[in-house]
Amino acid sequence: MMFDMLIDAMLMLMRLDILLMISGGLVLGMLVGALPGFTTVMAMAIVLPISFFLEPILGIPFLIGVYKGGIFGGSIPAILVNIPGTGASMATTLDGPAMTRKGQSRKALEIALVASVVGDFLSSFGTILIIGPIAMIALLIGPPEISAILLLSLMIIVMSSSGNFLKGMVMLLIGMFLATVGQDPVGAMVRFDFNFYPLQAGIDLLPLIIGLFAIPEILFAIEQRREAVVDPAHTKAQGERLRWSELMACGRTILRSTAIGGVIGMVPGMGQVVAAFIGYSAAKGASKHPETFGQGEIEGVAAPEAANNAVNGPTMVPLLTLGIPGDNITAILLGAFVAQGLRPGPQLFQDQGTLVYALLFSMLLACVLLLVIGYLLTPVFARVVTISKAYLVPLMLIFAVGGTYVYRSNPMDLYFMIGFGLFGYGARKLHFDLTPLVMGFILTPPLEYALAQSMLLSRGDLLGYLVGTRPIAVGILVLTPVLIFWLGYRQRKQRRVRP
Amino acid sequence: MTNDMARAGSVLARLNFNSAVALAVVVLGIVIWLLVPYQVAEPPVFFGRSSVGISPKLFPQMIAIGMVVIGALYFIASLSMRQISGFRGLSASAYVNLGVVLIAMLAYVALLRPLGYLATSMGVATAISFYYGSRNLVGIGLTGIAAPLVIYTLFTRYLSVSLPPFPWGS
Amino acid sequence: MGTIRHTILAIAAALGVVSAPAIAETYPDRPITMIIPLGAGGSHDLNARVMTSVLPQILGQPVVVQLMPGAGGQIGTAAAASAPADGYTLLFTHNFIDELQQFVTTLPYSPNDDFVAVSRTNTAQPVLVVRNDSPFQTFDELIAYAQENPGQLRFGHSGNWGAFMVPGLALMQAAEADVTLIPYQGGGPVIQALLAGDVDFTFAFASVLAGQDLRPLLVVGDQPMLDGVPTTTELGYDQVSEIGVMNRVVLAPAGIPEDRLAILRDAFEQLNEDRTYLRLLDRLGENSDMMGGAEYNEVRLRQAERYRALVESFGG
Repeated sequence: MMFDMLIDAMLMLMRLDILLMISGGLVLGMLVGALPGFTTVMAMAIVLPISFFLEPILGIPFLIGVYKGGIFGGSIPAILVNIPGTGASMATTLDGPAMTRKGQSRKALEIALVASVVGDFLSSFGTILIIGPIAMIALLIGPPEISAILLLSLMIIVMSSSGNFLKGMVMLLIGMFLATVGQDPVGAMVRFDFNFYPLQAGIDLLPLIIGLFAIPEILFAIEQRREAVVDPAHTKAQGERLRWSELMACGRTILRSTAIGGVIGMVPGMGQVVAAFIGYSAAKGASKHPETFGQGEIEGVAAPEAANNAVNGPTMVPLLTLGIPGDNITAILLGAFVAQGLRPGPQLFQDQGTLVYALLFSMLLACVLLLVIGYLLTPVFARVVTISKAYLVPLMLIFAVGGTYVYRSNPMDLYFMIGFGLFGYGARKLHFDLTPLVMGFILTPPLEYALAQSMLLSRGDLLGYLVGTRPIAVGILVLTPVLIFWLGYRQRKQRRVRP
Repeated sequence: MTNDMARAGSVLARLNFNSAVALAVVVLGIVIWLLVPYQVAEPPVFFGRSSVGISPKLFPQMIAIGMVVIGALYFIASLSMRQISGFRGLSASAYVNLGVVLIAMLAYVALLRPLGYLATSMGVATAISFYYGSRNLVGIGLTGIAAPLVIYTLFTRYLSVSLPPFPWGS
Repeated sequence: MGTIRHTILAIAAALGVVSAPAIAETYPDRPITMIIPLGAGGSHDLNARVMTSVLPQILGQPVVVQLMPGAGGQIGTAAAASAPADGYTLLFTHNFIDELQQFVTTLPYSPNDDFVAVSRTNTAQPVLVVRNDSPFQTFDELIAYAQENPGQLRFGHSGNWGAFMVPGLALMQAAEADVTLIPYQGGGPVIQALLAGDVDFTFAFASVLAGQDLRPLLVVGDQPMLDGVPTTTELGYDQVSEIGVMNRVVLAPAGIPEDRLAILRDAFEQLNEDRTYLRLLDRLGENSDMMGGAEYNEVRLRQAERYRALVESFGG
């Protein structure tokens, strides 16, 4: 009975118009994702009304295509010009642009594509298989667990940042402080606004990212303008294609990142950015040659890309099993479902099981199509680096400004962008790694929120509450210092081995 | 006596940009700590119980303490650091270039709303292309004129998001 | 389709060369912007998308959604307040942002002086829910327990001064029940928390209830929506009925010319008769309980007074 349903579900998808819709969504998503300032959420929200007027098996896979295309699309500018097109591709800027500078832009784009597709496919497949258990695990994860996991993540990231641990901590603290400017996440009490109204909304992630990543590139390029009108990267063109042997060598990294992304996808509120960074840190920590990370190491691109896509599968679980969206993207998908008269949740599985499975399979189908389409388009994208710096730099600037503005229509964001640009430039010149700053900035609000919720839930008696009813959280908290110690020990051993 | 003086002298000799940054961090931490009472308000109380679990002052205060502690440790560590600041070796012309681009960026952002995205982007893109050394008219035309147009049309017409319009015609 | 002409016109329009001030006063003659002071994907966004997929046929011009989240809705609202009052910028918000915020914090605008109502598009009545295996079968049992065990019950809500906290707070205050409030980031997470057992009760909109294992105990408002479930009006909590229901409303900056306001108000009346619009709303589980702008303006002022009283009662 079940088997018949699965077969029926697969047959439902064997239609040319569905394939075309998914492909269209993928291309659209890729293009929009490649534009900095355009979040995948925005892209999906814009095309959502289109899905209202299509049948469910056409409309929803279309949105799924936009979603998956968007995540990959963000990696394109991240690799080529060090500007993450979406937050999820921030970790890709650690090694991607370095590979481009070595003349390996095409290889970088291709490994990003393959890693993304593999991570996404495996994670979606796994989700379909064990959707029930994942739902149950998701219910066990509440504010105390989230706080513990976030603390652990922050520590892992600081420990694996390049450079000195103390300098990494400094960046982390600065990032955390920046996150506190504006309204506090729980009570919306304004902090550090200096009575300057625009600061009340706080500093947003997008101007921060575009400022920290894109603007310094412009400034670095402009330092030596007259000497470098003819660019070394210009002449190397886009380089060779990815070789099978190289892909196989990244195999373990990709699998590890997929697992990491999958686990993080189950924790509400963590998201693709965190998964990408932790995947990167894990790959660097497990590597025999961690010093190549940051210099254009291919695993350094594969790891974050696989991880950030692997988050997609489990993120769908609360939506499909309970009808509750876990984040903005699933909220839009929920809207699409609901506008079609479908109510996700346990009832939908019973009433319309075939359709639900067909939609789940369409996720897998989207992955396969992404691989095909991406492979065809990467040579086109890779050519971007052949544009001379004299044109690339102004283009980057007008894209950066346009992208930041459309996000919130707030001119303050633009000034912040420039300010962060100068800061990022200075920080890089002074050999600081910006990753901990960004992570501190991203993770502090959810951490503060989860801690506040935990305090309220415990009704004042935090220790008793944790020990009595929250074994998972306690377990993670105990694990954290152990893991830190182990990581620190490994790092010190490696430093002694290398002269 | 001379040993102490020698040690003090070598400490001074080892001060580098890292030490300066470390001190700045410590100062920043102190400043944040001092600002907290003035810049953080207290949340309302429901049914006699705090509505927020942890005070909004908590995180900033902890961050401030962290900065002071880490900054101090960093300062001590900086004495044995041998990194060379990237700013050394920047020629004067580099600073000039940076300055020009910075002013251009600020002007761009400041004039964005009054003059509209299209006009400002065209101006900035053309100027920077030219300043960067290109004299290829086709290249400058594409970058400076066509690109802003394409971006503006794409964003406002097809992606239905808003960029500041040209002030005429409203 | 005359693509060349289309392209040239597009470029010309983009350059602002082609404009229509001298031509006849047909409003609207260019796209209208609708600012939403909330984030993407919420029920508000969905309602807006439904509206903007049908409204252009009535008005003859596209309606472009501009999301401006932040500061509890203030960023978007402030932007709309400072937009020119020419009828080309509208604000789609709800009553908690519109009338309550001013008592919670200092705003750079005055809701009732700076905005005039175009249309109240619909309402949403929150429903108080507990889990299916909860020991409370009726609302009275819940309150009795709360009164005997002050602070023990955990009430999860979707965000400070949001769509669940306001009715909940007002209700608990009226019922003299002492509960602990736990914030969550939106309606979705709080339902998950309820199912996981972290909180004891919360609210939900009827559209969400359909697929869930939840037991409704009370409907806020005066329309009995669910069989066997009392409304706040029936139980005597009239005040809560008035201020606890979410009203989605389209506002325009004050000073908009009277004739343009009339055109807008009329357009929304027509929208509420449109079959496609009603069908989509119904699918979303939303009602189409529209109220004209002129009438709703009065309601806004009354609500302001009630919210002032609510906030002040907590020393806020």
